[in-house]
Amino acid sequence: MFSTSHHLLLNIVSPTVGILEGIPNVGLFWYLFNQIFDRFRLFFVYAIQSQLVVYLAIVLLRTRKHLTSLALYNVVIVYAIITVLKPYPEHYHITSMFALLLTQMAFIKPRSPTRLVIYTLVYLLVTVLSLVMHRVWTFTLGNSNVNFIFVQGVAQTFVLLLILIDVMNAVRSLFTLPPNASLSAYARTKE
Amino acid sequence: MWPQEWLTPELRFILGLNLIVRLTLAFFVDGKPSFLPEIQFVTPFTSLTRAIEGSFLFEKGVSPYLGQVYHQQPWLLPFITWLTRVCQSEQAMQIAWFLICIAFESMGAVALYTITQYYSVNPPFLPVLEVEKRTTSIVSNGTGTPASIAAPSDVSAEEIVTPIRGSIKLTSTDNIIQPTRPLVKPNRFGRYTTFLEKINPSMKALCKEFDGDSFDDEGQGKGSQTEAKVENSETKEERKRSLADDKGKTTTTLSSSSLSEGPKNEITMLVSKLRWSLVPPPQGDTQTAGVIVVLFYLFHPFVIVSTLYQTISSIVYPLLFIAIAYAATAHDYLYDENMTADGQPQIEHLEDVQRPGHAIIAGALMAIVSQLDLFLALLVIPVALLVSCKRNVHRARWGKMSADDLSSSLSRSFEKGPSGLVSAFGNTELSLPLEWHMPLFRAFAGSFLITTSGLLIISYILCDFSWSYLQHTFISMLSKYDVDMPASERGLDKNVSSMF
Repeated sequence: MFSTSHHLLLNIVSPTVGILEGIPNVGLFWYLFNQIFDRFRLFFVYAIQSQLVVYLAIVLLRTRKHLTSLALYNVVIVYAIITVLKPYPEHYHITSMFALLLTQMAFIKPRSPTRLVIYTLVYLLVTVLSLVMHRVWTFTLGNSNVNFIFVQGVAQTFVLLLILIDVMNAVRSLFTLPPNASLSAYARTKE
Repeated sequence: MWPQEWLTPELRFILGLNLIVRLTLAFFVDGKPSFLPEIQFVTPFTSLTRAIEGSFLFEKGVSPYLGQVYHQQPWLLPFITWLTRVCQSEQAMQIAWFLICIAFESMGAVALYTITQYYSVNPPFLPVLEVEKRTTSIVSNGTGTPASIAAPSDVSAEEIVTPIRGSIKLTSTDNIIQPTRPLVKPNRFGRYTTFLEKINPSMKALCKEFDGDSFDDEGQGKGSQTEAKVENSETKEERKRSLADDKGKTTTTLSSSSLSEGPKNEITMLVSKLRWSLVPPPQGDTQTAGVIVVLFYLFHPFVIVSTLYQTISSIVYPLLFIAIAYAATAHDYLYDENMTADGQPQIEHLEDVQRPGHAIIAGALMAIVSQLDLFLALLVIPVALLVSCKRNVHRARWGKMSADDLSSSLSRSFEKGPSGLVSAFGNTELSLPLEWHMPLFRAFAGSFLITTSGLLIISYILCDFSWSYLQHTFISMLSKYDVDMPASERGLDKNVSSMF
């Protein structure tokens, strides 16, 4: 009944859709789907994958009038959302997202420079610590376990979400100003 | 040609340094040469061992997709088999894979560098470095298009030449001058600002010139604040005064004869200026900015370890993301923002239309190199297409555009796209020959078909899921089936297991 091409497409598409491989990675979902009972698995697959659809659709609809003028910025936001909600993310995604964000810092600069610096430092700390933990896990056996990798993924995703919230707030602040804000005061603070 | 343009000396130095650092890490960190990823950084889609396993099955004549081993793209199979034949040992295979990954990473670095050179908005480290500020000016070349951004040596720091007002002298400290168009309607507080105005207060004078024009029809909103109203009235008065003054100036300052031909040219110039302002050119020393961004990208502590695991299995994505770029740029620019006095879409000035397309395509290059999933691309594209197509349908429905105009405008937008594509690769004045338009249009249509077929496949998978789920629930309801019984005893796992 099923041809080879059928298996081909399903083998390419279905692991991302169904979150089948429980191999440890930087993401969040491998742990959940290793621990979960089979009878709940389908429900959680639906729940988690539909989140991606919903968030991406909302972001694209919200910024539909500025797809070109804020093009790279939208790319960064979509990239971050995808990185958070991806079943099999890599560190590469996060760092390249940061590098793209560096090119668009003018949007965020008046908003929250200190917070961004703090997030970046926390993120770097998390990366260094997780490297150490991974060394401990692989070379001195028994001193650590795979939960450390999961904790690292959780911390990374937490920081990434905070940064994403800041970025989205910066976008929103492009379109609204508080009641008593004046541009001259802003210019004075900038100088 | 392009390698000389793209690979600047800084980039060459950084890429060489990157290669040296990676090689030393691979050779000397663990005491033995190790080119293969550790478990932490591998996903099923980026595993070399799985790829070798799949290629072995492929050589033996067995479909590698029958099991759960191989999840990567099919075109990678012959490549891996060829690589194993050439290398003939595991160590050589790992080194070759290592070098391939570094090559692709360098492509990502080059893409980031170009992004920061052309599309970055005010790089963050400018106040630290105190670099020389660059001035931009819009110079009319007689045809009504903003010809170029003049080099700093051409124009004095405090002067801008506008087609309508002539020369304007600014006294602010920041020299970045762009005529701007408000991105927003008046908010609920009765006043509006543009993001360019917010970034750069020195543009306030130019903002005043254009604010009144674009918002006369829309009104001021229901603001209760008197200050905003006072400011707006002031700006209007200033604008009237300035326009009255400048009628004499333009004839003297501008040597081009475009203005004397009539008000239509003024409008086109204004429109082109507005278009130009949508995507501001990068400011400051973009070369150092690019170097810093690329350094951040290449020498992040985790990337040093995890770069090895990018694979090259995502050749499909360029087409998909370029489709997004088409849909987004062409329609946004041609049919929504810019209209002539007759209410017709203004599509003459291509160089402005191409510019944001570059931005999206350059971002798409990053996405390609860093391997977003096909599944996600399938999600993004139909949304972008729907959003862009909805506008034309809307215009047609409300009588501003007939059906013939709709079809012709669609075809025109497809014609405009490829030249934007080519100019994304370095040369902005290059345009595609006409023979290339049709193949690229076919490629676009093919990518659209791919998305629709992919959506069909996904819906089929979801239907299969839900069908097995329904079976499960029905049987448990009707026959008081024990739900907790293992799936293999129930015989219900066949649907699911045959899929995966």
